Amino acid sequence: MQITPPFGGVLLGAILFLIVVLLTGEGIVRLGIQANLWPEPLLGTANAEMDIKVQALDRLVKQQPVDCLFLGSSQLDTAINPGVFSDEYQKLTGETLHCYNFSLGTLTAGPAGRIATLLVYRYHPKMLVLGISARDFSRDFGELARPLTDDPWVRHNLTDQNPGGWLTENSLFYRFLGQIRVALDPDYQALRSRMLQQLAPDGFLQYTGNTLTIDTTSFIPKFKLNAEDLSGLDEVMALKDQGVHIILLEVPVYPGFLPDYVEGSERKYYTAFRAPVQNRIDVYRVPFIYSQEEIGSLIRDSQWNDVKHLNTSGAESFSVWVARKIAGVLQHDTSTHTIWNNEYGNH
Amino acid sequence: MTPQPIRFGIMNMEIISLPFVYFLAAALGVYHLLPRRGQNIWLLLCSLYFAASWRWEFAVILGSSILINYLIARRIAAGILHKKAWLWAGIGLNTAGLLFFRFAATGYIDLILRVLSGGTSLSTKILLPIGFSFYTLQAIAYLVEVYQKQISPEHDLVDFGLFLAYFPHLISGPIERGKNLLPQIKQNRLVGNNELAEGGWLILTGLFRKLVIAGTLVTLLPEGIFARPMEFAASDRWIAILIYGIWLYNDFAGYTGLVRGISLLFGIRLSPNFKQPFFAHNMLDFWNRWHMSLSFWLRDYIFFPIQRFLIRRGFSAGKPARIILPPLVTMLVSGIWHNATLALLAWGALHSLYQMADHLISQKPGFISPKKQPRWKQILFSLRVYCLLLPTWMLFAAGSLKLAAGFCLSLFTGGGTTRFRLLELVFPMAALMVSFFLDAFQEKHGEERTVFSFPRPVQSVVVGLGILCVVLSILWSNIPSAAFVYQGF
Repeated sequence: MQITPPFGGVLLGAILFLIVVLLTGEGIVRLGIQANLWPEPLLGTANAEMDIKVQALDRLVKQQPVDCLFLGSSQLDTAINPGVFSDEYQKLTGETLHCYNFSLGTLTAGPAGRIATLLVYRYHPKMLVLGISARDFSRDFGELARPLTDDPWVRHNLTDQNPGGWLTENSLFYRFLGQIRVALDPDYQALRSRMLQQLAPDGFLQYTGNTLTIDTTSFIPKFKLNAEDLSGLDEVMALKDQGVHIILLEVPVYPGFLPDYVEGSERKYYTAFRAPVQNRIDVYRVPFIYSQEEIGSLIRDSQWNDVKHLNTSGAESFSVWVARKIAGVLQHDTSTHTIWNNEYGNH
Repeated sequence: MTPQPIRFGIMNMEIISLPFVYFLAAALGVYHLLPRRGQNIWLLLCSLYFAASWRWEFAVILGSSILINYLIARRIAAGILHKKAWLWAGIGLNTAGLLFFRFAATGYIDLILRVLSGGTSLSTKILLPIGFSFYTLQAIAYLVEVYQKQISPEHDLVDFGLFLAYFPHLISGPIERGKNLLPQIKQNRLVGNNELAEGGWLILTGLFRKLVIAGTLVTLLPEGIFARPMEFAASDRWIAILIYGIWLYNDFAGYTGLVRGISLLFGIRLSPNFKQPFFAHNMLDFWNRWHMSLSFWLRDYIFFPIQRFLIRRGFSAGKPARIILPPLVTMLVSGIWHNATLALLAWGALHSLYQMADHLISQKPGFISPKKQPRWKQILFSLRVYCLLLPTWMLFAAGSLKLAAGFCLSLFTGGGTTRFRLLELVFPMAALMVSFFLDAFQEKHGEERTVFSFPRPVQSVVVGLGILCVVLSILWSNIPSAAFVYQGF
């Protein structure tokens, strides 16, 4: 190699130009946020709902610790109103819990394991309630949630260091550029605007409809517990070792839909889904709250948004019911009670 | 039994991937510490390792090809009586190998075996070795050049091995000629300011074309649109076919720029492969600008020999055989080279028809060359070329005659709701414009020195923005590596 000076001036100039652009950009974005000229940019991950919820939770934990998190698919997203849950819990136990519903549309149990780990690492909750349903363990729905766990920011928060994740975490200008990209993605924008309309500040997704149309073709024609989703379940259960109280919650479907939910048979729902899951988690000694049998008497037809989702009215009743169940579970679990009173956690 | 590909490779070392960056850094670091002879040995070892990184058998096949062609070339040069026989033996062996792997990869060999053996299938699927169709053509050209005494046969096995296996151009060319590459391999190579600057620029533009432009345009080519067009809206089908050629061009030109740039860091100048093909005024002009190293190979070793053969047999310029046979055979061979399918044969036949038409038009009395016509007419000529290319892209993209016909018919059938909304077209439209402007600048200033005619601060800004776009594309695409379309050939 024979390099004669002057050499590299253009490259050096390009690097200087980039440094100037990036620093100026970072400064302008931060100043603009401080001056309320524009909002703090979202993460710009593959999922607008997660972006909104992470931003909201980041803000919340700056004000107060988050005690409990709910995690599941859209079924739990619309089923738990954390405000109602906390009020009822306080009435029963006298204890105030600050809760957030971090459920995400399309989430299945496999990715839920990763997201649960991320939430525990990042927000240190005392309790994590994982809401599950048969579709969360079906291979048919697995691919929908994959972009969530492949996302650089998610991987970065799960200690898989990568430049994209690091930049998303630390550079507001990078996030801002990412917003330009997602601004041109109509799917992302449609989900974002829907979420901004329907999400409550505590992460509760508010559905107000009431259409109970039952398609008599089986929703999951061939059901088998997917290995990847079972691993996700194991990952959530293992978080118990981090000192987090884990509760598994069966998220119900409309009773009239149950015969068509799993392989066109109500019995299959219990034998192919719920019983094997119960067997799987027995070893972890994690409470599993069943809800399907009681849902018929608890929720009226008018409280369903559709056969799989509750509307806000149904969510209110269900949240009260869940609060009672969890208070009961925690009352009987003396070890948990001790942990609770010792204010376990990093906050 | 279902054919299962065997996997023995260390990893598929895509050129755009972190493992390749480490490999390249190691190759360059050691290379510049060695004398020329050592450099060549080192580069050959690197090249064989690169082939083996895909599958070790690929390195064995490459090594065998080097050895066989080396020995045959020496026999051609040495032999007085049998040199023609050795040439044909060499051409035959290379062609047979190419046809075998081409047909095997398409499944025909397996089919024949099944028919002959009454149902027994190959237990493993035979894959086309990486770069095989490129270095085989290069070997044939070398044998012919030696036979015609355009070059002396290479006595040094290492140098000849490097000529065939040189890793920057191994997977998809450019298909080099002995008279261009061998002298560079034989001489002391200088890597100075110019080589580094031009190499760096070629690498940047290559990455930009592949990751930024092609990476953006590919969003308009949803998976399955050519195979199952009726699942998509009519407008989506039209967008897909209109965009396909420009996407393919940026993908392949991006690859070529990248490997030419990498090669310059070793002081070796590879041939260009593209010369703004969409500025072509007719189809003959298009083939002088698109995949040039293949086009020129086909011209020199298929087209011209057939033409000479016909002339020797007394076919004058206006005779139908002179007009039909050379382009037809040439483009059919090109089709088979791309893939042994009826669709690619039809693709070749259609291209040959275009060439015949251009040839006839150019022979008409009063014909004025497009280059001598007003600018607006030249633009219209280029648009006409693009329109003529559309049916050929259908054949190329669909992969089968039936699917291509189905796609073609679907263009004139309505239905479906568009997948793309106006917002989604903003980035691809911007990418199209950037592709066009990059072509325009490259046409004016040359591919290697596009940016160097600007004042220095402008150069820095252009390079800086280019780096920013490439880095953002890599970060946003969130994939560990990117493969090129033509490495499948």
